[in-house]
Amino acid sequence: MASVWRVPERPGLHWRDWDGEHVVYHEASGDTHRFNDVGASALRLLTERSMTASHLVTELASRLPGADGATLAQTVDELIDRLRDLGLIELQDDASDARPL
Amino acid sequence: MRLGTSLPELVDPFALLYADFPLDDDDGLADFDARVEPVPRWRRPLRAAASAVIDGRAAFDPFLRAQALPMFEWTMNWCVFTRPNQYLLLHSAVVERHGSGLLLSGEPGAGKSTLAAALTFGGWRLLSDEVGMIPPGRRELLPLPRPVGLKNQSIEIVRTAYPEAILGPSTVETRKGTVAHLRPTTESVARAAESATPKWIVFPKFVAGVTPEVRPVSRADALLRLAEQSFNYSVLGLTGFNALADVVDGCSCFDIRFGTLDDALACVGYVTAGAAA
Repeated sequence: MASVWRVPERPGLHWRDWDGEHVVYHEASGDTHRFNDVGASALRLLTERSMTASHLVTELASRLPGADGATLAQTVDELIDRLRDLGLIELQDDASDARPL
Repeated sequence: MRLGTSLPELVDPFALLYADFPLDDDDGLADFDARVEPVPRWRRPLRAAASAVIDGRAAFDPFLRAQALPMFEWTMNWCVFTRPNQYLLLHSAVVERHGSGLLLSGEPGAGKSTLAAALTFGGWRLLSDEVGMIPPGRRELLPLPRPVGLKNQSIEIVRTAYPEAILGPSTVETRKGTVAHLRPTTESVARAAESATPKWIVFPKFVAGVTPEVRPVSRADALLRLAEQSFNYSVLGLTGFNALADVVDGCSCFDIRFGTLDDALACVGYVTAGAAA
């Protein structure tokens, strides 16, 4: 079963957008990150709702006309790794498996 | 800021460098009380030493008494860089012309202080050679004019290019090499209550022998670089991000590379051309 990714609740993401570049301040970590259009669109989509990588590719392709499907799929795979490493997204399964002690 | 010392050799340099600064009542409130005092000879018998005291507490390890003047300046810097967290503090030189502010940001040795000093002899007003102070929510650069710290070859470059420059004594063998301070222009001190609107962000880089170059920098890149050079961006959190993004939002941003002071001034002239005269 494909992994479902999402942005944690109360993500505290604050955006500034300039000429195809996007900067986001992440309240939880205090870090500031820069994204291109693809990265920013992906993170914003995942903020709106959870989805799998393939679903994310489909959504991005519809929003970024001219994007090559195969390239986009590889980009999204790398992007998900990066977003997870930065603590900006998490596996929905991990979150739903969590139980209070 | 209340300053004090019992080192007689500091009196004349301070009188020279701070000649235009108003003195407050001695019993007035001061945000900081900074002193540089001699260390008793029995504690440092080999070479005369001094120490910095901020608000009654020793601030750093004792240093050579011969370096007391730059250490006093750096003690004041430390107060300004670490305490006023109601402002976003960027490690930048800042100058102003016709109300528009130019931030010069770079690593030590990039040439920002030298360039800022030179600009003050060409119609620009010094706000600071060390710190850009930004009140969150107001998109302003607040002045904090103080003597400009010049290092090594920059001292002679400024002295030669601007014979009217008033420089304090040179101190050799500091941790930054030879250091001398330039008295800020009278206008810079007189207008210390007038803020500026940030308009340009420039990242200067001195490279010996290089052909001068001006290259646009994206606002996203500028924000990340300025955040990296800030004294308290991480302390302020979201407030700092918004303040910095507001500044960057209204600025044109550039890298400049130069090998001479004249080239550096030409690069700044190119960047700021077209601004209201």
